[in-house]
Amino acid sequence: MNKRTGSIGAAAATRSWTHRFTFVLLVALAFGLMLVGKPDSVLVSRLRMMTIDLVAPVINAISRPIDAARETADDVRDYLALKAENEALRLQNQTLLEWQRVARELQAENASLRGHLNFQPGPRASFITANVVADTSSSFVRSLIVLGGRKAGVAKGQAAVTGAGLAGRVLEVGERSSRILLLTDINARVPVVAERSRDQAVLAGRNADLTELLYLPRDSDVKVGDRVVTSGHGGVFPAGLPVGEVTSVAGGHAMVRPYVDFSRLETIRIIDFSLPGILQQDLGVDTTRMLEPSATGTAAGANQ
Amino acid sequence: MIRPTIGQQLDMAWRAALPVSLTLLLLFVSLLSWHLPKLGTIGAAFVTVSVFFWSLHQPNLMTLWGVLAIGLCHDLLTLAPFGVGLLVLLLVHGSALWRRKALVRMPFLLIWLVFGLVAAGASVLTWLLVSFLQEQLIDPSEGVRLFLLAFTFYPPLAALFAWIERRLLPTT
Repeated sequence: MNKRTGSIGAAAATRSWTHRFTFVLLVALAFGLMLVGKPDSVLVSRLRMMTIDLVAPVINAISRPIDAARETADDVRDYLALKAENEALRLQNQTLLEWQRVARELQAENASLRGHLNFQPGPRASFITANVVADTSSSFVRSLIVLGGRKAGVAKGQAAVTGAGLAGRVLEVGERSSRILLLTDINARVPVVAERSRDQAVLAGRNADLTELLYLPRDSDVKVGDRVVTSGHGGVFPAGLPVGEVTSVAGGHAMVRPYVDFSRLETIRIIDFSLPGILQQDLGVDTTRMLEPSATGTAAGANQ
Repeated sequence: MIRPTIGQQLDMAWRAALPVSLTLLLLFVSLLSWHLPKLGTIGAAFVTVSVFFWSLHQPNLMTLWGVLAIGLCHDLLTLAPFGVGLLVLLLVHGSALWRRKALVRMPFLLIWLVFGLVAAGASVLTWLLVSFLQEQLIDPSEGVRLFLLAFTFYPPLAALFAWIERRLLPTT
């Protein structure tokens, strides 16, 4: 009997030691991954996109019943508000008809003026609309996963916008899904210009709701309430996309609230402006360096 | 000794895989776009709670390899620096196993307090590592938020897990 417990005890001790050894090994592996993930993120980035390609449909499937429940609740609420909404829409329709008339006039005038000027139109932008399937934002990163990848013509660096304005840009592209880095991420940098004062600056995310204007000129005349739009510098985004509104200016620091409501993104438009960007140098996120050959390959393929 | 049929084996297999698959499911669910104001690192908080609970109560089912799978999934799905989530979860697993026999007999409130300490350590470590790897100081309130979320969600999640443990898991 004693012998038996002795052998069991020995077996347990061996198991415990193997367990401890594996534990130490895995902790070392985690440190190793941190080291690998930092400088050479090509592999990590590709692994990430593979995982996301696999998981995005699963997450999409899980979200179906939740979406359905939310839509039903919205339907009921809409039904209750039908009368008031109808009234509001009728009023809005009148206003819009008036706007349509003005727009037609302006369009005609614009066409005739362009004819006088021999105006050279810029390249046409094409876009796809993609469903937001997962919000991978945490305290430390702000990003989304959308259903729409290389197969749909998405390429790294393209602008992600909503009706309200610029939301971010495509960071990683998989076959069927891609990851959008939001404006508010700590690694996001967008060259912008204040619409009224024409002060150039760089909009930087802070992993918070507000973003910050960096490198504002000393004598800048930026005021609270000013609109901030993309400046088109760096060749990633075209000029003039609305970005946000200045909420505070103090001691050369200005904070900007983005127009896009990041907590309510359901679909997002990914726009290909066919701009030859200089993304290799930007943003500190090493993951951006990868996929460059395939991304340009896709862009070239899309242009053909 | 009677050999279990294939059906019985399958039945045992899915029950045994429950702690790890449940944790992964929680991670996926936390990634859904809920269209709610951002709660922050809710996925990381859920996963921390789940790994601690199962490591403490069912160490045979939440093994090191399970923690490895969960950690890798977490790091690959969120854009956080690679390896940080894995390391933190391994340490949470390790701290649940360390003095497990004494801990598991304690009343719930004490276990919750111990979990609070572990979660605080995990939050500080995550904050330090992310700041170090991103080469800039991250707002410390983000670390505090991770701790608060994990600490507050421990009792409800633990109740759910305990119910699942009683109803579905084979008695070991």
